[in-house]
Amino acid sequence: MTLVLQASLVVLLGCAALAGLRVVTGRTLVDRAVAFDLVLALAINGLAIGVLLRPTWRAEDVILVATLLGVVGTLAVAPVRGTERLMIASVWTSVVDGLVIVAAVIGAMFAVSATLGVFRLRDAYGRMHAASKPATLSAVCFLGAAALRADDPAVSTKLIVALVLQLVVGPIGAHLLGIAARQSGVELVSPDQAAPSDAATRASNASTSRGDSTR
Amino acid sequence: MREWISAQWLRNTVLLAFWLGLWGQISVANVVSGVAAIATVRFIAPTEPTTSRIRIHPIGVIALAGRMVWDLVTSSLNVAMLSLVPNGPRRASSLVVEHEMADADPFVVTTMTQMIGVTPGTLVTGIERRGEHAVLEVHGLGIEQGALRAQVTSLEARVRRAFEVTS
Repeated sequence: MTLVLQASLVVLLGCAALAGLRVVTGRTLVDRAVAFDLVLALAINGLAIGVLLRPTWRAEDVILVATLLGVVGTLAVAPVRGTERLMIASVWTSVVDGLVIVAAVIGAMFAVSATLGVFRLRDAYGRMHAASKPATLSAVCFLGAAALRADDPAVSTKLIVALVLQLVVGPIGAHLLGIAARQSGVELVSPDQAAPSDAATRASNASTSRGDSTR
Repeated sequence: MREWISAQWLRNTVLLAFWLGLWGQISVANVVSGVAAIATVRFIAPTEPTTSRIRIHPIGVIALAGRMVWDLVTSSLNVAMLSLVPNGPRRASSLVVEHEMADADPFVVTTMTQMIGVTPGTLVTGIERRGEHAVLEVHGLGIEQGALRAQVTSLEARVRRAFEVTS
């Protein structure tokens, strides 16, 4: 299990480095805000792994603060966003260990896809989807795993609070960025011309995005 | 018949539960300080007064929560696939539809917006009020326009089955 967790940590560090690069090189302010959120979410995942690797390490308060910082940080750039965790105690250790391994693998996979999405998707809206959804699930995986393994119920509770916060705040942040993007006239990018089967979608796209520039 | 709960008190209760969760344990001191903290926050940052009353339908809430978890998983897989597949980003649709709600109740609008945030490839990018109705502007990634409309409409029906609201 330690191996899996360490591998996840390496993957997360790679993702965080890429997301950090994006904070600097993002095409628009919105993109940089999205990337910043992602860096924070990944940092929270990293802290959760830290708790898993060293049960004596009390990082749950740091995680909560980082979660709230995510909200405040995004609020500062545009209007907002945030993070958190899960439950249950010890005893059935082997079952829990299995769950932790599964959660770590899934969480790392989602962290990778969120990072790739932030680079690859073609408009700011798509990149918001990438940052808000897989990153949230990734955080839920790691925080849930950490809460499961924590021996102290108070620690588990805090991790669960962080998890719930993540679920609540992630969408709020994406929502506020979305509003900011629409109001500042960030454009929707239609599917590529090379995909004729999507012609209908493209047409409707044009009709529904009217008013973009006048808002 | 279940009772109508004031939206104000529902919010206070949720805030207190959150406060206790932050401290990690229930104690008299935590409850008292929580009540004081909530009163202070409500005083410093008052929200628009609401007279909404809510009747909670437990089965509807469980169905809604289950749906939310399912949506979070599938939406993550959906966006993850779009990001990972070689031609995914180039073929993904990116469009906006408007959804007119049955009324403009803040509780229902908030719940809807939150849930759309975790539903496959959807995100609320604008909320405005038109007469008696709230209108949500929903952005969709990798989803057809018709499917997106149907999804938002069925979500509103599910939210209203879980929470009956009256002003």
